[in-house]
Amino acid sequence: MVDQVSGPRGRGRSLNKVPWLIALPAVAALIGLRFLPSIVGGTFAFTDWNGADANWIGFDNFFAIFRDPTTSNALVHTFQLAGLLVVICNVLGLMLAMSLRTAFKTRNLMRAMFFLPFALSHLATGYIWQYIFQYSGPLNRILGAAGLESWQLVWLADPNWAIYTILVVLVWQYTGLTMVIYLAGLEGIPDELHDAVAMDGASPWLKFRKVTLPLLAPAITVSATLTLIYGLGAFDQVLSMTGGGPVNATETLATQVWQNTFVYGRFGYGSALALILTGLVAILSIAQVSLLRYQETRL
Amino acid sequence: MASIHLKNVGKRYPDGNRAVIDLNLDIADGDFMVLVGPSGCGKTTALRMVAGLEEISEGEIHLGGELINDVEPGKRDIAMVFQNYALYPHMSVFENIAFPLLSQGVPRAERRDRVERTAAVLGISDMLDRKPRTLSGGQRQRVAMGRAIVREPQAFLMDEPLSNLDAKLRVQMRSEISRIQAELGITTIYVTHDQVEAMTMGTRIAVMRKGVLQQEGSPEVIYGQPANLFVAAFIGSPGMNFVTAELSRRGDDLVLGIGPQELVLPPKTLAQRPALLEHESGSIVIGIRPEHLSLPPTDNSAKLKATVERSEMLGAERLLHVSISAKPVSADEIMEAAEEVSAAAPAMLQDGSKGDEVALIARIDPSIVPQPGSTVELGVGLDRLHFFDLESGRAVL
Ligand SMILES: Nc1ncnc2c1ncn2[C@@H]1O[C@H](COP(=O)(O)OP(=O)(O)OP(=O)(O)O)[C@@H](O)[C@H]1O
Ligand SMILES: [Mg+2]
Repeated sequence: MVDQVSGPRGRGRSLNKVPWLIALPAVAALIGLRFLPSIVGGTFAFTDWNGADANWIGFDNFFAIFRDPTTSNALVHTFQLAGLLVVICNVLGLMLAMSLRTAFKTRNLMRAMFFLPFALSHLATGYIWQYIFQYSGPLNRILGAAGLESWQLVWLADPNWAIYTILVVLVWQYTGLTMVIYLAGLEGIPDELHDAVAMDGASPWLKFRKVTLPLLAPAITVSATLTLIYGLGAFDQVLSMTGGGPVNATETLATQVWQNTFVYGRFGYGSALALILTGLVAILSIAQVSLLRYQETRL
Repeated sequence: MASIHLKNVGKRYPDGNRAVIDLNLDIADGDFMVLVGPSGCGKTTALRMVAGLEEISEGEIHLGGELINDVEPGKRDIAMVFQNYALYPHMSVFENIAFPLLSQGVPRAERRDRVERTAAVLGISDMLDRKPRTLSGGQRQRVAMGRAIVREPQAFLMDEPLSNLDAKLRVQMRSEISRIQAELGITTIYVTHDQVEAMTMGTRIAVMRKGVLQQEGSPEVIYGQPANLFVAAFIGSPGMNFVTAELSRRGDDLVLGIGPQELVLPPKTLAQRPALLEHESGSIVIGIRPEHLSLPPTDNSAKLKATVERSEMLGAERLLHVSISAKPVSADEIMEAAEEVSAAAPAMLQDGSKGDEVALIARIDPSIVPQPGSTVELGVGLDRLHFFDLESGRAVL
């Protein structure tokens, strides 16, 4: 009441406080339920806690992780999946978005279809894909029926191929998301600019390189960062299709966190892995965002 | 440099909307053609068909004698300036102006040369490294012009390029565009709904209404000999005065009955407008431009008694609002044209002209200060009267 009669400046100040007060419970809950446990959990990374007693062992868990071929390979696989996922998803998503922007009858249906995989349960669809890729599964049967016996592979049981099979499923799952982001980005380009390009007589390639792509820069930043985070954290699909096998050929950081923590009960070791994963996601996505933002301003 | 011909051009949008109907326009090489008309009359649509941005539903468009109906916009050799400038936001001013050249594969050195020359013409040489968002409206306008000029195209198309500028800048850019167009001699189609812009810039004016061309001609003809009520009401500010009159014959003279008053038309008028005879003993619309009502009346002019309502001092002249008792004209054309001046104008027209009262505006010497409520005698330039058919709205010539 006092604030309200104390003139415009007083009112302005009270208006500024109100949003904070309203946000306070949510902020408190976020800190208490999300960040605090993570920080507490993070400290376990420096212990050998196995469910019973915990001793402070400094960085021993981290040294062990890099010495252990299973976990260091998992790190390599994680980079492989994430790197390829970012590139393939964004190229495909952009191509889909550009082709689905032009007017044709089933456009909206197609958009929905391509987005659907992202909306479905990643675990459930993982099991379906696992069935499809079985040696006697639908994929090989189709290849056989088409006379392509030489193409038949033990998709998920071949240590060389399994990780790419998983990559295919990841691409299938996340391309719809990037497509939607690029569609929104394309909608944001004003019609007048398209008209201007048409009048200037630019070829489709010049238009793409010099106008469309630069104007999509913010969308690229968002989309590339999201796919990077999804790629680094790939878990559901790996667990449901290979469980990390064959012979650890598809282990990722996320599956290793899960396995060490909840299967082997090595809580300290698992926490150290989780900390590495979190750090990677944070560092790489921040680096990527700053790099892309820098590109945006230069464009 | 080329002429542009539109032959029976029509546009039907997919929703069935007929935005342009049977448009015929011949624009000679080097002409500055202004397409003017109220909002939604199809100006932009017509322009976009010439540009190639909108498909031509009916008819043919020729550029320099060549049919361009099926030629892509970029291949028509026509440049366009858009209402919101449509500058590429991520490119510098230099890159914006250079883009059409880049599209045409002009070599780098020549690109730089031509962009710099264009920038000099427009006075934006010191802004070439800046991004459009750091420029003022007027500067953006110049960049947009630059992007069009640099190509040295066959024709310029401009769609309300000045509507986003403030009044002062608009006046300045108006003359600048005219100057550049005259210097380059490039055939131009310029769209506006501002009749002042049309009058000041155009070497030719085409007035459109509801997709139909009303009249095409030089500014003098459009202003001095409007072909119908709509053109008469639309062009001119303040607009033409309209009043319904009864035409009758008395001996050799034609007499106009305006309410209780009479104006006797000299035989000369009938000789000039033989068609008036067809309206003998009937109603007709007469139009009088504000500058053809004089106070005090000149010696040999006809006189009309009127009551002074109020006056507006404009500096070099005074607008005198008066009312006379007569039958107002409430044709759609006039209302629609008045709407362009201001949204409230039709209501004011109707308020000012209730039942048997007609509001008129006279343009008079500012040193004369008539008192509101007083009765004055206005001189009427009989040889400057315009006559229109009450039914069709067409000029009676
Ligand atoms: N894409 C479209 N689909 C259907 N109708 C349209 C389309 N574009 C314009 N129209 C209609 O066509 C008519 C003419 O539109 P146009 O834009 O050419 O008018 P304009 O004279 O340029 O008006 P303004 O002065 O407001 O710019 C309008 O009735 C408009 O509603
Ligand atoms: Mg328009």
